[in-house]
Order: sequence, then structure tokens, then C-alpha cells
Amino acid sequence: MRKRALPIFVVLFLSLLILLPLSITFLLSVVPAWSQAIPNEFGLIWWKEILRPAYIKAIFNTFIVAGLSSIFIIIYGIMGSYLFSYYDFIGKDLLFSMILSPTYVSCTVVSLGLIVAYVPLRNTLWMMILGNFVVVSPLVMKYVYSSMAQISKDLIETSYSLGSSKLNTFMKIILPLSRHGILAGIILSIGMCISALSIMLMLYNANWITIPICIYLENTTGTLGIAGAFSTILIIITLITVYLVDYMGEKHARF
Amino acid sequence: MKLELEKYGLLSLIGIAPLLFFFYPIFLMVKTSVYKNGTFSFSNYIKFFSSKTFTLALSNSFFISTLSVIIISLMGLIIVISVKEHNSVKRVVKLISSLPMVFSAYIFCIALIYAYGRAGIITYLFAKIGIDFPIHKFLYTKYGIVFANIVFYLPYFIIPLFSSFEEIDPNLEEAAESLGSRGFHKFRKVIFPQVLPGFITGMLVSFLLIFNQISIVLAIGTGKTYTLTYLLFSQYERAKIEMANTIATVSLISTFIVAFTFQRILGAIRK
Amino acid sequence: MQDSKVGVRTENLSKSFGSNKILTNLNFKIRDGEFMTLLGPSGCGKTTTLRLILGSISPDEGKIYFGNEDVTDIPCHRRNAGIVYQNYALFPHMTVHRNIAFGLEVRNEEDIEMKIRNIMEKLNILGLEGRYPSQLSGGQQQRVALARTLIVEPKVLLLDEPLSNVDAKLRYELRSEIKKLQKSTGVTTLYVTHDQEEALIISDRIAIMESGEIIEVGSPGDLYFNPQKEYTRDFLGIVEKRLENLENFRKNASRI
Repeated sequence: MRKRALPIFVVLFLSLLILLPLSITFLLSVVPAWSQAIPNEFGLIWWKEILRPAYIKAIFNTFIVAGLSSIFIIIYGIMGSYLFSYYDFIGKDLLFSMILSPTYVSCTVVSLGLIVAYVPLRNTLWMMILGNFVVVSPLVMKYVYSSMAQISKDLIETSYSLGSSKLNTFMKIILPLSRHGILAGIILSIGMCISALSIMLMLYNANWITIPICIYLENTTGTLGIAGAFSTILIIITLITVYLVDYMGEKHARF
Repeated sequence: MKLELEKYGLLSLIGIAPLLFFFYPIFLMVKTSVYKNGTFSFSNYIKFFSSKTFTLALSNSFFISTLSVIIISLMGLIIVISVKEHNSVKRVVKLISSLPMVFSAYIFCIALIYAYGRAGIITYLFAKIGIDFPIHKFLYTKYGIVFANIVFYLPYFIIPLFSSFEEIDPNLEEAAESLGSRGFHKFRKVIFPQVLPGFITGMLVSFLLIFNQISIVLAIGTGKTYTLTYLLFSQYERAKIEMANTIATVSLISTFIVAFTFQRILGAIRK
Repeated sequence: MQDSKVGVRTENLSKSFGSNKILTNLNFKIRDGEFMTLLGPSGCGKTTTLRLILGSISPDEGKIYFGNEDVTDIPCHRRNAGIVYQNYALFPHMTVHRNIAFGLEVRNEEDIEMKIRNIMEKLNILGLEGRYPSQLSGGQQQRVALARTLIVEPKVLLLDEPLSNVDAKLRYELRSEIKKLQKSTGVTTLYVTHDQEEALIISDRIAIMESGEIIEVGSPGDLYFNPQKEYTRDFLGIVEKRLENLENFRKNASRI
């Protein structure tokens, strides 16, 4: 009996710590006015507010920014993974470390750097995409690389021996066999770009406000219901992202 | 020898991105911070270190990160040890702890406030049965930030730690037991030394993530608690770019020192 | 069409990996249409030689000829050397049919379906077209690998210990099938193995290799009964030595 008690306690503890706050976020969105500790009035007023054009635009913006960023991120990720999987060169380890460097640095520092270095791009859509790119591409490349590097070199050699050129081998053998890692990378990229706040704080453009920025702004001006509603949407999107990435990981284990 | 031209093409394309968009901006930031009116000068740094607010921000960043990491590593270790034998519970724990990893820290902290803050649900419920649930007392101070950090970054520590434990050769444990070692002795002498590198790496990763973080401070700090990252942001908002660059450089140097120290420790352990 | 009967020749082939000199001035020749086995212990350089002929690695020095053509600088995908591996290396995401068709599709050939049917018939694997490699037995996978390679009529057929992963009974079957196939297609073949018995049974000629050098080349009969080099005698005579050791062991054990 005692042996099982401790793990169960751990689970309860973690649930209280983590799951509870998440469910409260949802509650925020269905309370018209949260004036006392336990709300007694519920309503969908905030969800109706979200349907206003400004907020719908924010939703569109979020997906567009995330989509555009992810295109660059995944292409870079595939190219980089191919380079590291199949070629040797001086400074290979150094390059790999260089690509991973942004993960050790604060998003604010990255943003400031981009602002200072690329003044004409300040507060444009392209700056937002660039910010996403710098912060997210190292992680995506790690995913895609681990998937691509697992492909047996014998398969590649066989393909060449049968007359297939490097390009044909890449399209017919390498890409299909690493597609789970690539898909996971795409989903991860989109998920991270959608919920990115710290990188957008200093880079965002007033015409391209995204959901996280919206949450931040609404929160600082006090309209918590909107923040809550959007937060709930984000939570659902991220949950789906996690599930899909995990699912891809399972499928990949088969090959 | 065959010339693999496409290799050099790829290499240039891949190599240019970090150079252009990361290293060059950093170089520019550092350079701007040491040049005043066209001459090399440390005046910005003198301004930084003579300002109480700024130095407080620096020490806050270190204090918060260190305290958070210490608590996270101890809690993480206890959680992993108590759960690692029970596979079904382990899966649930892994799942629940992965959640903060994918959420925006900002949303999470707002939720924390609504749960444990002064007017929070949990606080209210406990008050009803006569208990003063203590979290709200420190939630809005730097200890609150520590609390939020712990909740949010615990999984980043736990999940790799699980892997470290799973990689231990079970034969070693059996051999130790056959020689009479068990319980705490076995843990201290046989098991823990094997997970120590993973443990230290986890500490480093958590430290850097917490040190470099801004969303949590933004959500909980209520504008009164300053960390280095928040300071940078507020200086930027006030268009004080030079100071912002200086802060960025201080932040980078701090990160570098910490990473370097940890790598030395890791190197020393591996011998 | 039938340009596949070409001999292979290496000239002063040298290859190092870092500070490891694997091959030094390797000179050897495979006759047109012959079944040559490269026999030697692990690490002697036989797989490296195979890869050099395949074209997946380049020599530091020396040349490789397919017939009269210098193929040293021709990249792997244009050399038309076919390879079959120990682990079959079938494309796991393609069906048997697509695996076999792969080489032909790259060359935009016609009559693909007929060619596929013919080769599958020859190798006794008709009916497996829609299956995936993971659904095949070891023997079936090996046959599919052979079909895939032979269908493009390679100039040279390279086999890298193809039967090491196969159980004993299947090994005898596949061994004779490979031999029969080689005889009927007449493709110049280089077979790499460390198994002395296998080499003696299956080859037209054997090249004994050790530490990056060819010790001796000859027919199985010549090498076994009339070895010119001490190493050859020891290496091939091991079968006899095993019997001798077994006899001694039995004698000693019965004395106890």
C-alpha cells in the first residue's frame, strides 16, 4: 500500500500545480465579469466578442505569419539535415553549434539584435518572420535531422548503384523515408510560431497583430475575457500540436 | 577526386543564415554598446553598474534563476525516483509534465494568478475552510516568479532525467545488490553517479531557459520586479537603444559565463 | 543490348581512411563473365575494394577499369555496377514491385512490366508484387534484392556477404540459386565473404585477401590442393584443422 501512495501523491500534486491553472484559463472566457473569487455568472459574451472583425483578423494574421515562417523554417531544416547527414566538411561540428546557438539566448536579445541590424525592416511582417525563423529553426532542424540521419546508408548506395541521381534519390528515397520527422517539424514549427509571444513583443507590426500579442494587449488593458477566450483557443491548438507530433513519433518507430 | 559542388552550395546557404541573422546582429549590439560618439568607451557599462535599478535587475535574474534551478532539481529528482518503477504512473506524470512545455508561459501565469492569487479560486476555497493558502502572499514578488518558474520549467528537467535513469544498465544495480549495497547507499554510490551528467546538463538547460525568459516576468512581475530581460524590453520601449544594447551584452556575457562554468563542472565529473 | 559481359580490373589501387591505410597498390583482375570471390577475414579490406568498384568511395590513387573503359572518375550512379547487401537494403516504403522497378524507372525504359515479370519468374518470387519488405521472409527479401539488381543488367554484380544473415538450410538453397543465376546471365561477379567453405563451393576463382593485399588468386581446386603461399594453406586448411582439433578433444575427453 505504501509503495503506491507516493506516486499517486506525485500525480495529484502535479495535477494541482499544472492542470488546474489551465482549466481556469478556460473559465476566464466564459465569465462576463470576474469580480469575485468564484464567479457565479456565466455567459458566452466573450466568445461573441471574438467574432468581431478585428479579432478575426488577428486569427488570420496568426496563421499567415506562422505559415510563412514555417515555410522558410522547414526548407532550411530539410536542407540543413541533408547537408549534415550526407556530407563531411571541416567545421561541421562548429556549424552545428552555430545553428543551435539562438536557443541559449533570450528572445529579447535576438529581437533587439534584429532590430539594430536591420533597421529598414523594423516592425514589418518580414521582421516577424525573421524573428520566428531565428528562434524556431534550430529546434526544427534537430527533429528533421534525427529522422533523416537514421536512414540506412545502404539504401542510399543501392539507389545510386541502380542509376538514380542524387536529386532523384533525394526525392524518391530520402524525403519519403524521413517524412515523419519532416511532418513533425512542420507541425512543431507552426505550433511554436502560433503561440510565440516573447519574440513578437518587440518585433510586431500593428497591422499584423497575432493572437498572443492580442492576449498580452487585452490583458494589460484589463479585458481579461478576450484574453481568456484566445488563450483557450491557443491551448487547444497546442494540445493538438503535441498530440500530432507525438503521433508522428510513434509512426516513425515503425521504420 | 570528385568535386561535390552542391555541397559547397548547400554549405553557403545553410551557413549564411546564422551568420547574417544571429551573429552579425549580436556583433553589432556589442559594438554599439562600447562606442559612444564614435570613440571606444565603457560609459554605458559604467552607467549600468552605477544604477541601482539595473544592478538589481542583474542580481534578480541570477537570484531567481539559481533558486528556481535548485528547487527544480531537488523536486525533479524526488519525483523521478518515486515514480520511475511504476510504469503506468510514469506515463501519466510524463504527459502532465509535458503540458507546460507547449503552452505560452504568459497564458499559464495569468492562470496561476487566477488560481492562487489574492482573489484566486484556490485561495478563496481554502479561505472558506479557514486556511490561509500562502501562495498569494509571495506570488507578486520575485518569489512568485520563482514559483511560476518551478511549475513551468519542471518538465524540462524531469523528462530528460527520466531518460537518464532509463539508460542505466540494470545489471549494475543487481551487481551492487549482490555485493550487499542497497537503499540510500546504493543510490549514492551506484545509481546517482550514472545520472549525474544528465542531471547537471538538465540544471544548465533549465538555468539558461529561466534566465533568458521574459513572459513569466511580464505576467507576474506587475511591473515592479525587474529582471535583465524585462529591463531590456522596457528600455527598448522607451527608445533607449544604447542601454538596451548594453543590457543585451551583459545578458550574453552572463549566459556565457554560466554555460562555461557548467561545462567545466561536467568535464571534471566525467574524469 | 548485351553489353553486360565486361571484366573488371584494378590498377595500383590505394585507399586510406584517416591514418589507416586500408589498401596499398592493389592489382587484381576479374575475367569477363567470371564468378570471383574475395575471401578474407574481417577488416582485410575486401568491403573497401567492393565499394571502390561500386563507386561509392573514390580511391586515393590508382584506377579501375570495366573492360577497356576507365571508370575511376565516373560517379556511382552512372557506373552501372549492381550491389546486393547482407541486409538486403530493400526500400522499406516501396512494394516489391516498385523496388524491382526502381532502376528501370530511373532509366525510362520500356516494357517494364514484362521485364519485371520475367525476372520475378526466374527468381521464383511471382505473386509477391504487392507486399512490403517487412512482410517477406529473409530468403524472399534476398531474392527481391537480386531481382532488383539484375533487372538493370549491370556491368558488374557485387555481393557483400549476402548470405551471412540467412539460416543454414536457406543458405545452401540460395547459394546454388545465385550460382545458377550468374551462369545464366553471364554477368561478371565479385562475391565477398569470410566463409572459406562457401568460397570453395561457389566460385570460379578465389582471391585470398589479407591486410589490404591479395595473397594469392586461383581456382578453388588449385588453392586447396596446391596452395603457393603459406597463408593460403593455413587459411583454407582450417576445415581440416577443425577436424583434427575435434579428434584430439575426443581422445583427451575419453581418457578422463
